[in-house]
Amino acid sequence: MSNKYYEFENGVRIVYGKESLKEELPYQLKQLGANRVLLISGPVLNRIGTVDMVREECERQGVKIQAVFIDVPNDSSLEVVANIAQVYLVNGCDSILAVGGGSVMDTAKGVKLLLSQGVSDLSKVMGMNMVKKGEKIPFVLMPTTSGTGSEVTKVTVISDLARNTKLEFVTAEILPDVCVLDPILTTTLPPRATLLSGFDTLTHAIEGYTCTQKNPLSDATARLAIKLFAQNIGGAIDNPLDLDSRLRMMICSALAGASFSNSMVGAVHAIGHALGGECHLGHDISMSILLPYVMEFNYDIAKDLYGNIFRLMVDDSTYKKVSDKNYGRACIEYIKGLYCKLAQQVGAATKLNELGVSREQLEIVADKAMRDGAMLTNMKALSRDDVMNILIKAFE
Amino acid sequence: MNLNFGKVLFAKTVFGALGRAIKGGYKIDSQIVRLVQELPNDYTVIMSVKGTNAKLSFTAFEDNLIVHKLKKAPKSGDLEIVFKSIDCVLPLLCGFKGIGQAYSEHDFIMRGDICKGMVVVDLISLIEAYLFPTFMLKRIMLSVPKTEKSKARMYGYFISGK
Amino acid sequence: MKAFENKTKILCGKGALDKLGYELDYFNCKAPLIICDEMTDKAGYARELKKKLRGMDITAKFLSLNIVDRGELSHLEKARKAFYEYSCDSIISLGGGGVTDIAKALKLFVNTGISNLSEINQVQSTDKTTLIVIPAFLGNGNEGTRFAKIYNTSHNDCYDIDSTAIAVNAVIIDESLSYTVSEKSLRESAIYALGMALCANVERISIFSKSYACAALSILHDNFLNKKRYSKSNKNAVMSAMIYAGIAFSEVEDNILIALTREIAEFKKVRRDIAFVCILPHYINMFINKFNKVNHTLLLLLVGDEEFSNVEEDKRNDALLNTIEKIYTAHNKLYGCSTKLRDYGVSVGDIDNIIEYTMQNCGQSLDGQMEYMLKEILNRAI
Repeated sequence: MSNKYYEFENGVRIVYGKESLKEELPYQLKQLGANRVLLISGPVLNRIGTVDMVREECERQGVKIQAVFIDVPNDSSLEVVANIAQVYLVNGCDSILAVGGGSVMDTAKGVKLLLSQGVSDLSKVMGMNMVKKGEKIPFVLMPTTSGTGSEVTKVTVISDLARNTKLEFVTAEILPDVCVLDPILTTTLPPRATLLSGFDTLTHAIEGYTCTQKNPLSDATARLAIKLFAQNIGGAIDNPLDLDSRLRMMICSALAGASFSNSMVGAVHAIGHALGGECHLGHDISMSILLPYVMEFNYDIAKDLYGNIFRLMVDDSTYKKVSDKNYGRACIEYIKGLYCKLAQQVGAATKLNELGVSREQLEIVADKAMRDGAMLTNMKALSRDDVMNILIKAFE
Repeated sequence: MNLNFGKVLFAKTVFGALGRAIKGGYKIDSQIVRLVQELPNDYTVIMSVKGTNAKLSFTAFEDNLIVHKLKKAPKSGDLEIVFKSIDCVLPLLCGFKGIGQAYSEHDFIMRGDICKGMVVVDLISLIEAYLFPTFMLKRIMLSVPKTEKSKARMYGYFISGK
Repeated sequence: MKAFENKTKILCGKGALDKLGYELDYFNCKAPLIICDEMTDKAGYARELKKKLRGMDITAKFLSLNIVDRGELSHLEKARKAFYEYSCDSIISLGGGGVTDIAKALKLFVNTGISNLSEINQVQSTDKTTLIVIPAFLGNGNEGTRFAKIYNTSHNDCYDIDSTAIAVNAVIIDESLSYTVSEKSLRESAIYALGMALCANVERISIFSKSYACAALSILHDNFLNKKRYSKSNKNAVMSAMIYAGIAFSEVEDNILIALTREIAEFKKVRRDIAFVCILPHYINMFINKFNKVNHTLLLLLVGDEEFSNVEEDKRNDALLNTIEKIYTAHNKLYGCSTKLRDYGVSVGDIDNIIEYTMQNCGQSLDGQMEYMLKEILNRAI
């Protein structure tokens, strides 16, 4: 069953390079007509001085930061989004700048959606591609991690704490006008977070490349992302202050984000979302642990594609050493080995039972995973039993 | 005869048949009952086609399922699946495309909780498994869901209403 | 510091046109002006579009222009009048490259309020009018870019427009609009797309643009190379490759290759895409060592993963050149599509003049080595 039709959209102006915070961010804001900016970030970034650095640079170059919101929690919620929207309106802001990781960017996207659609309750615009083009609000994102790719994706997930559920919004309306990638903002990312966010990126690229909605453009961006990942993940972990590796990992993340945003993902994300919801595991650690096991499950359908991925990740001598030309299998082993090696180096978990997940919870996770939209686009259909098998293998 | 008029008439007819099949499936297949029970109580689902008045709608209750007739269909629902045009929905209704492929190919937009949307997608897939011959299903689905009863039983419901 | 921007949404494949009503609705457009050329109109595509919009609460107005090859000022004026007369709120172009250029220029007029292209640089512009491009032939690779060319035949002049304000909001590439494409034009366009994608891959452009170039090469590998017959979906795919290659190529800054192409086109009145195709393989051959890092990627994309694995690492440059030569030879044999400039009226005696004009317009001085390289390229291309 192959798709005869596809769509691709990446309407974000991506500005990247060393010093892009100083040389580009204020300029881009001015180009968008931003006069009174709402700056959104998180408490950790505020504590380590990133928020001040961004604010000072903008104001030094004549861009007024009208208001600042630095209390975005790890898990974004409707209440937080509504509070920030209120801050925006009360202070007469005319644009949004978000500096942070996945949760900050997701929250900012929710705020933009709420304001541009002119609704008071975000759940009214919940869904997939159901909103129309709304009011123009200049919107800029500056990621401080290189993992989620949220700076270029059309998806955001916001929690509804009252109903204990996560709401998903899929629409081009939440794409930022500009995203600015400055590696200086990721140098404070500790090695463990670098590894996990890197593997999150790799999962996006691999799933984007192997799902049912794949298309030539998403394939091309995924391939470039996989290549960049393989060439730079080691450097970014070993030398956190190496701006070149950091920049390439940010580019890798944006490429992988563009890929999966236009081709969807698969079972790794479906099961990972369920693990996050039920066991409160971080998205990145779930992806990192689950990836090779889902690849094993998909192997008989996707082995040629895995072979291509292996080609991109290793040098010629390693490629030629593979016996029986079983490149697909070699790919899975390579990724598993790479993660284990780096996880040991940085002290990250390699199995779910190391993270406090109980065996009983796996049953609930399997049920939830079957209801995730990402299951629909996995290359191979999964039954609930298949999901349980994957979880058990990843568990111990 | 205007070709578009013919297409809309066909869509309305097939939606009607689908509605009847959902009602029948609820009576004969416990998988469908379980799927309906996953939806919240008094939860209305509407499938419609942009630019036409072709519509399929049903409301799920804890212990019941009501499939609405076209003339009495609610104007809005908790979950709305809207196909982008009549030409986007026809391949699905003719069995040339599964609902999964329709999702992959952006044939419809969805208002509401996407998780609940996946329940409806599974429901439609099961109904397709009842209605279409196996050789067609294998072409349009990654994996054909197993039905509890036979296709004959479903067609029997169509004819007799039992 | 690098930047990449392309806001064009791509809708490609069977049934893409079925999504047109939704796309217009997304952009809050109720009254599009659909501009097409007479050939498109005669092929029945305009009628096809009308059917797709039926029942959508959209009042589309159609304007058919006698554009043969390129958009002229007179066409633009007619389009501008029609836009305001019918109180349209958006623009759809349906047809070839000339129609697309007219639609883009019209968007600029509507966005800025100017009525004369000479005023382009004097006004600020925002992207407030929706423009959807529906290529009905193979186009010119500009469908997804911020460039347009409008000719002023009476003054033997042309306006080159380069503005993000004419960015295309969506490109709809539907299989059903490719059946009038002849195999000869398909091959010509595919070779041009191949050339643009190769050139974009070797030059210093953003990696995001390169992804479009890589996608184009991949599509051409699967749908054009080594094929003798082309189905509707192959033609559709080549149309899309043309657009992606165009997007990537639009980021390439002026280099020797582009400058040479331009001079040959203006000096010897050879079609620009033909001149480009003739020169490209020799340009790559001459500078192959400069492109060393990307050659492996190019070879991988042109021959596929399996064949690439069989080529020794130190032989990949040669393999790339051989592959390009094979492609060109195959192209020459079928339908008599020549890739030699002599078949287009360029002779060895023209070389010195071409080089002189090229270097003048590049603003560069000619050293011995550069002169030798350019002469070699042109000799081989002729």
